[in-house]
Amino acid sequence: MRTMLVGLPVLMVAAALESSVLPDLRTPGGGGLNLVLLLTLSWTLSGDWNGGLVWGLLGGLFLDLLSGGPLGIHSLALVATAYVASLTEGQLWRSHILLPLAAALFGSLVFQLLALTGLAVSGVAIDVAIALTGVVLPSTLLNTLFILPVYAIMRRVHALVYPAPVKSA
Amino acid sequence: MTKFQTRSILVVALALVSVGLLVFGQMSWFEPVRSVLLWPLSALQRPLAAAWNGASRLLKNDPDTAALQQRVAELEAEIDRLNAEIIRLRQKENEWRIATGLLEYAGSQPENTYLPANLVGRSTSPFLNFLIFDKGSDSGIQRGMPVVTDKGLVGRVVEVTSTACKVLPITDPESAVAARLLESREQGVVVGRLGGGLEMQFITQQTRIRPGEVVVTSGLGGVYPPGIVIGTVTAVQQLTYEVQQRAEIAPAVDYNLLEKALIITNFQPADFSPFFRSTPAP
Repeated sequence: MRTMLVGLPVLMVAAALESSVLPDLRTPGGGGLNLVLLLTLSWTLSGDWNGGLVWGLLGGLFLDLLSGGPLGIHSLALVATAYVASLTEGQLWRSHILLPLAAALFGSLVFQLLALTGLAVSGVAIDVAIALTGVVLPSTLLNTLFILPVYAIMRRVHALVYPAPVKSA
Repeated sequence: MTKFQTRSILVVALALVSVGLLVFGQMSWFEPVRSVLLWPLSALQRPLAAAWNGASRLLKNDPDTAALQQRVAELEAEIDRLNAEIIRLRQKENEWRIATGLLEYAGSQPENTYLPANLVGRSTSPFLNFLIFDKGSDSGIQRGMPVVTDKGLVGRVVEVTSTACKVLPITDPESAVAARLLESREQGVVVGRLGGGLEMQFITQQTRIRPGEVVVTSGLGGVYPPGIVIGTVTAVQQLTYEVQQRAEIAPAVDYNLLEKALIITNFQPADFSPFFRSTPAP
C-alpha cells in the first residue's frame, strides 16, 4: 500500500516531466533520460523488490498514456525490466555502486529494446538502425550516468517509507 | 511459497495486465477509461510544460524572444523619433499659420511694405512692456516704424540696434494712439493701461458707442498709418457730468501669443515738432 502511495504521485510527476520537460533535453538523434525507468529501477534496487514490479506497471501505464502509442507496451517493458532488476536480491554486492550502474545499463537496454519490439509488433514503422544508434544507445548512456543521483534519492525515500527495524539489545 | 515464487506470480500477473492493456487498449470501449486515466496526467503536464517553457526561454535566450526584444526596442526608438517629428511639425504648422496670416494681411495692404520679424524678447520688468524683435538697422528698421500683425496694431519701434529693435506696444501706459471708431467715425485717443488693457479717451458725449465696435487708427498725428485695427470696445464709461466719455478696448493682438510681426518699413512718421516751436520774432 505504501508502495502505491509513494509510487503514484512520484511516477505521475516523472511521467509528466518526461513528456513536457525532458523532450527539450534530448540528444539530436532523439535519445534522452528515461526518468520513470530510473525511478522504477532505483525503487526496486532500494529493496522493495515486489513493489518495483508494481511501479513498473504504473510507470509504464503512465508512459503509455502520454506516449500516444498502444497501451501496455511500456508497462510490459518496465515490468520485465523491474523483474530483471529484482533478481539481484540477496546478492552480496547489492550495496556496491556498480549495481545501480549495471542495472541502469542493462535495464535501459532491456526496457528500450522491449518497447521498440512492442511498437514494431504493434505496426509502428521504425528504422531499427537509426533507433538503436540515435535513441537506444544515447539513452542508455544518459540513464547510466543519471542513475546514481536518482538511486541515492530513492534509497532515502525508501528508508523513510520502510524504516529498518530497530534491534533490541 | 518462496519469495521467488511470489514474485514470479506477481510478474506474470502484471505482465498479463500489460498484455490485457495492449489488447483491450485498442478497442473503442476502452477509450473513456483511457481518458479518465489520462486526465490527472494532463493536469500535471500543463503547469509543468508552462513552467518549463517559461524557464527554457530565459535559459536558452530564445532567438524569437531576442528578435522580439530587438524589434520592440526598434519600435520604441521609432516612436520617439516620430514623436519628435510630430512636435517639430506642429511647430512648423504653427509658424506656417502665423506666417500665412501675416502674408494675407500684407497682401491686403499693398500700399505698405513689410518686413517680418520674430519676437525674441520681452522686458524683464513687470512694469515695462517693451518687446524686442530680431530686425534692426541692418535690415532697414528705423525708429518710429509701426509694427502690426494680421490681427492688428502691435506698437511702434522706439529703439534700434544693428540687429534688433525695441517696440513700445500700444498697451504700454506711455503709448497713445490716435484712433477712430469704425462705425461712428468718432475719434479719440487710445492709451495703454498698466494691466495691459486699452482705454479710448476724448470721445464726445453725443457719440453712441456699443460694445463690440471696432477701433482703428485714425492716422492723425502721423505716428501710425490710418485704418489699422487696434481692438474692440468692451465697455463704455459715460458720465453725465463729464464732457467726454471713455471706452474700454480689448486689444486685437494677444501679446501673450505674439511670435512674429510685420514692421511697416515704408511709413515715415510725420514730424510736427516745427509747428509747435515758438514763432520766431519778426
